[in-house]
Amino acid sequence: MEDSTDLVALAGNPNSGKTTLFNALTGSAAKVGNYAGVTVDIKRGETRTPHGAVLEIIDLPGTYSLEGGSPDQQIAREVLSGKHDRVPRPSLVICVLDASNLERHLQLALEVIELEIPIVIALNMVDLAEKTGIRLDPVKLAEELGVPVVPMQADKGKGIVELKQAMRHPFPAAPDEIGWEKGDAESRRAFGLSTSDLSARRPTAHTSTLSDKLDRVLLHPVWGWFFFIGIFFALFWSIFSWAGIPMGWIESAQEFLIGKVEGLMSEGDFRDLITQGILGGVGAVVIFLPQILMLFFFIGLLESSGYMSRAAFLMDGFMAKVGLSGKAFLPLLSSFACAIPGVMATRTIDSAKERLVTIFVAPWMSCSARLPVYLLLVPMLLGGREGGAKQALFFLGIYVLGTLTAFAVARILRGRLGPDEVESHFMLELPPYRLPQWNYIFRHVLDRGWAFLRKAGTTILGIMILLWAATTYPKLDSEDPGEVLSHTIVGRISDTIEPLVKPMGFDGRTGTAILTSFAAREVFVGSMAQLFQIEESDDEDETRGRIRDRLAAETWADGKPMFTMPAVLALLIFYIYALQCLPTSAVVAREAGSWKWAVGQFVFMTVFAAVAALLVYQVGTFFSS
Amino acid sequence: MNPNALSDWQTWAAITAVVVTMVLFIRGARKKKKSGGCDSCGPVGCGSDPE
Repeated sequence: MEDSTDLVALAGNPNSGKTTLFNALTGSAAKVGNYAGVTVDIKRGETRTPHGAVLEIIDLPGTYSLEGGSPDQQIAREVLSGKHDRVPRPSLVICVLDASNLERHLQLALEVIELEIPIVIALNMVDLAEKTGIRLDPVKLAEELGVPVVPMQADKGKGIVELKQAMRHPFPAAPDEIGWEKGDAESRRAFGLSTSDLSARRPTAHTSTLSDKLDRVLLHPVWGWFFFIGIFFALFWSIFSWAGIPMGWIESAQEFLIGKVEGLMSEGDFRDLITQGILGGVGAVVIFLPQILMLFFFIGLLESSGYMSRAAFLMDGFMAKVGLSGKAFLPLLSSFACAIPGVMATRTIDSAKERLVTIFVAPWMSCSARLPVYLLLVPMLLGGREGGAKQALFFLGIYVLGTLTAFAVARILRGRLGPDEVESHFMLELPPYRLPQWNYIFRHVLDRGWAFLRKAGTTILGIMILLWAATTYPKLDSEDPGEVLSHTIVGRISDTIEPLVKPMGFDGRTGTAILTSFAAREVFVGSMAQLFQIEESDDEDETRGRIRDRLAAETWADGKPMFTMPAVLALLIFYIYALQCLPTSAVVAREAGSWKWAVGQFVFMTVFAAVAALLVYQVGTFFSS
Repeated sequence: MNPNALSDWQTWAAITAVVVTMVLFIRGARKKKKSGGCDSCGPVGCGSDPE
């Protein structure tokens, strides 16, 4: 493939600040995390040099070496050596090095220099290195390597102009001579160590930094877990306690709009479609926007501050017990937000078998799409309104249950797949704690919030319209709302599936709501709002949007309450375990290289969820009767 | 009177909305199948371009 004249690649170790530099250069808002493995694919952007030249920038996945076998290392190696089928060989490489860890980060830079490609070293996070007492000498480093070195602080935008100056045409030529034996890893390592000794002198006496002091507590075998549980408990408690007010605003807006439409339009199908289908159904999902935003804000805070790496460190020993390395933890952690980036992040795992196992169990980490369902059901179990420490604790339990099940299944699968062909190495970097990058956190939160609303306005809106039609047509000329519903499409589906779902404690309508949520989990809340509204439609005074109250009052034909504790618990268990996300299955098929894995995973998780729900309901009913 | 008769403009409008939604869904699914994209992933998307 021909060399491009203006393609610049950003390469570097994981957590070297590469993505922060990419964002600073291109003005984009790619996800930044203070932990390794944020970039698993190639991101693209553009920047202008001070001379007005436009350069295309690509952000390669972070890698410690170009010689490993994991998919992310493979991508970086292929691009830099010009062997990638869709990306031309870059004209210039900016190798981002963490100034505090020069001896290790230099190894990658030396490997890139061996490729005889023009290179500029971005010596990043010099402020943090100097704080730890390291005396940096970028000029010496440039002399030793024979390439330009730009000291910088990408997160504060310092050094960006100087870096752009170094990126001007003609690009700096690759060094004619190198101070080590090309292709000899041992010689390269020795050269890297001597160069880092010369250009980054460490203090003779180790001074304890704030990060060291914090780590003594946060990584302590006992206190570490205490804080780990405390931090995540506080996260859920805040989500519950603080979101109530903005949720009330959304609810009031929903009620106001429904009232307006009813005032403006005469009775009829179109008015029902707008009030029950669109405003009632979509509104029931949108109401959870504040919680979604808060979840992403707290995740961003933990990532950006550096705590997520500590969480990975604490979990590493646990991971080894289930046959996974610490490398699998970060993809699993990402899956708490959404399984799709989690599945994609498994590209950092060297072992193909470990990668498959991680992909298989990743959807069991409770993603944010499940949040609206949990938020609907958990308060029903605890018999109260939203908020409070009890609910936060229950929530934490839900996440722990999903995680423990994922680990248990991973252990079984790992044992069945047999040992690895290649040995897997895991190196976890513990970056110093940093003040969160508010700018990126807020942009990220807004992006996620907007994506949620977009989905509510497209997929969920569409499903709600179709569901409304299915609960309305064909019509029956009758005064009995139960009879009218049975005559509709949904009524017929409900009657058909009720014998199947009744052993789990669900009636046909709940079963139908579950069916609709196979397209997207959040749809369940809107579907329940629509399906359980119909029989109550004559009761105009009832608070709209509060489907929880309505569900609590539902009874079976014999007058017994429908949503008993075992039934709600079974429903919750079903949503913890079921894989109801088509895009996840599509990404699993792509990443695992076969639809068989995706189909197998879907069937296994759905059957597992159904059996678990059945057991919970039957055992729960047995003991509560 | 047949309760399913398209007797007023509201019924017509509702049916039209439902049909348009179905058409959009089918078109969207076809498009996604062609591009292998994942526009509607999770509630949030992952920010990654589909390959």
